Amino acid sequence: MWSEVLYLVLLIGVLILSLVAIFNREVFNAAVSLVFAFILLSGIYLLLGSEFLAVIQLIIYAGAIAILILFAIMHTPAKIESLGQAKIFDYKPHYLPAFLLGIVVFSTLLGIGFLIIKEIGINVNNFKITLKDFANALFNLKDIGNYGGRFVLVFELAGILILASVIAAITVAKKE
Amino acid sequence: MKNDILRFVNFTIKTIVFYFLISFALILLILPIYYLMDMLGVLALINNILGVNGGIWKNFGNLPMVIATSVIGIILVITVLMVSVIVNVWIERKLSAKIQGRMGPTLVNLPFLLKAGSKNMWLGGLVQPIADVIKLIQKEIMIPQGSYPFLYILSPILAFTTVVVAFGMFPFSNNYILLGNLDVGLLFIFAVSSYMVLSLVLAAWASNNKYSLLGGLRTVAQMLSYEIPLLLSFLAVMVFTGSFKIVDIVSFQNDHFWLIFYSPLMFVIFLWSMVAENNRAPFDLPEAESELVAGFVTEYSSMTFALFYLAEYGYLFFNSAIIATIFLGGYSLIPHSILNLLSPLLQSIGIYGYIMAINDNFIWIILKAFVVVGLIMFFRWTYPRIRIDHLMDLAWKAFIPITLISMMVSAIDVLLFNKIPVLSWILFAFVVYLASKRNVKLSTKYRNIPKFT
Repeated sequence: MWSEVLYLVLLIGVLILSLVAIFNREVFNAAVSLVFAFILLSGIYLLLGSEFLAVIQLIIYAGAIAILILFAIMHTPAKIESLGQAKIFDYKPHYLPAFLLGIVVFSTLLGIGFLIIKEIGINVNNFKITLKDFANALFNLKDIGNYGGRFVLVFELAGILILASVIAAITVAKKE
Repeated sequence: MKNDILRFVNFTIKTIVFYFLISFALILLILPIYYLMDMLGVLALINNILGVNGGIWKNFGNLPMVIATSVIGIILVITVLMVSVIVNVWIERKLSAKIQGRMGPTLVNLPFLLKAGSKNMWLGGLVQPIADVIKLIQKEIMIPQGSYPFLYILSPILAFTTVVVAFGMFPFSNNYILLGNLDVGLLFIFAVSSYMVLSLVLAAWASNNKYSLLGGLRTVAQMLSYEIPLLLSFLAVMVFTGSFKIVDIVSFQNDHFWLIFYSPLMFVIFLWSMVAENNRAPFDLPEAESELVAGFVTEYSSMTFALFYLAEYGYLFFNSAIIATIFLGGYSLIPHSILNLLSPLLQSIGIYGYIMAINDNFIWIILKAFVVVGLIMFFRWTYPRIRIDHLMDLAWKAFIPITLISMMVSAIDVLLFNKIPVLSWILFAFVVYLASKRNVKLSTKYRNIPKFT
């Protein structure tokens, strides 16, 4: 029971910190909250019983990549005026298809999550799987009975999400 | 010339003897506390619930108990940390004074040890660190205008937290690990201690000061580059032991021999990378006093400054303990393989039983750690600070290629020579030869530098 409580606390923490990372106007604060989101995520891995993944998350993501982001931000001016003046929502016609596509991707992810919870219930011990099971669940399409290939769709959707974020980053950074 | 050498030898022997006396005195100080804890059953309680077989996250079913015991564990860790920091600060002051031909702190004495105000060169000023702490607590915490208050306060707390967590994961003996024993123990310790960078960057940015920012930029560049040779040299050694678990590493050294004799080159690189990670001279560029006022701590005062100070000295002791565990045999005095070889001789004298009784004890790890601390302090007070581009060159052009080659070499040693480090020693000799050749070149190049008179 306690582990479920901790799991939920960690999940909510990751969610809040990620939202802060997206919506905060101060670039440095956003990056710092991203670091702490990574750290809490490694706590979730630890809770699910995969110590190695948790440590690698701590070293690579939170320890190196996020620090590099901070390093890059430290080379920019401390307060950027144009960021403070920009409107939060400024409607343009091509926002509508992007919004619809986003809803499709998000609802699919949500639906898969609900299906999984309906099948095995919210119990951390049921989620505890070894690295081999994990690889099976992601990549093994041959035996779709037991664990095999169960999360392929989620994996592919995560790929689309990353693609979308890369395109968004280029759009934001390009010269007007 | 002859006189100079004699004076140097005399001075070195004196300082080393002085240093060892202090270490032994420290152990005598800690021992009663340890046995008191053992008698009261506190250590056994912590051990049963968190100890060797588990780690906190495997016992979540009983969360309140886990929280209670980990609070006791954390208090214990902080006590050990504070004692080691206070002793280290005093030792560093006295040692630097001896190296520079001064007397160091002499006035603040223990009343029963020395008469107050008597200027004793050896034991004077024993209470000086405590006086420093009281002075720091009395001061006001200043939050400068234009800074980011939340991050400004958060960063020293984060710095101190990482030291406490890292200390908690460290095994001082084969059955006393305060906060749990992971399968990837050493990797976890490295991961946690790499968060020092985060706190220093936050401090540098949140101060909103040019000197702090420059110090922060240097910190990131230095610590991120030196993390790579640190982990790689550690991996090159782990090829021999085949495990990340600290208990397994020590037991490997017990069965065979100390790992410093398996790859001496990796010991040197690991030691220097540790010094660079710790931001100590000759690598103290982030807080170089003569260039940036105090680097990232320029704006800090009172306890916020003291927490950074504590973290730095805590890491000094902790890193030395890590080096002692990985390379110098950990918590056993003499490897068991050597003891088994010598056992007929020792039994004929009649001291075999005694040696076996005291051989595996936490005293030895503390003593070895203090020897390494002394080494690092000697580096600080005898080498000049190196330039930032030389620092980067050392990491990227020398340490990383050598460690990568050494990983392959030690893998060949394990596969072909049955874990006998033949090629590792050949590589060591080769690198020493190259370095000496380069040194000769440099010394001939700069021989005719005009003297400043």
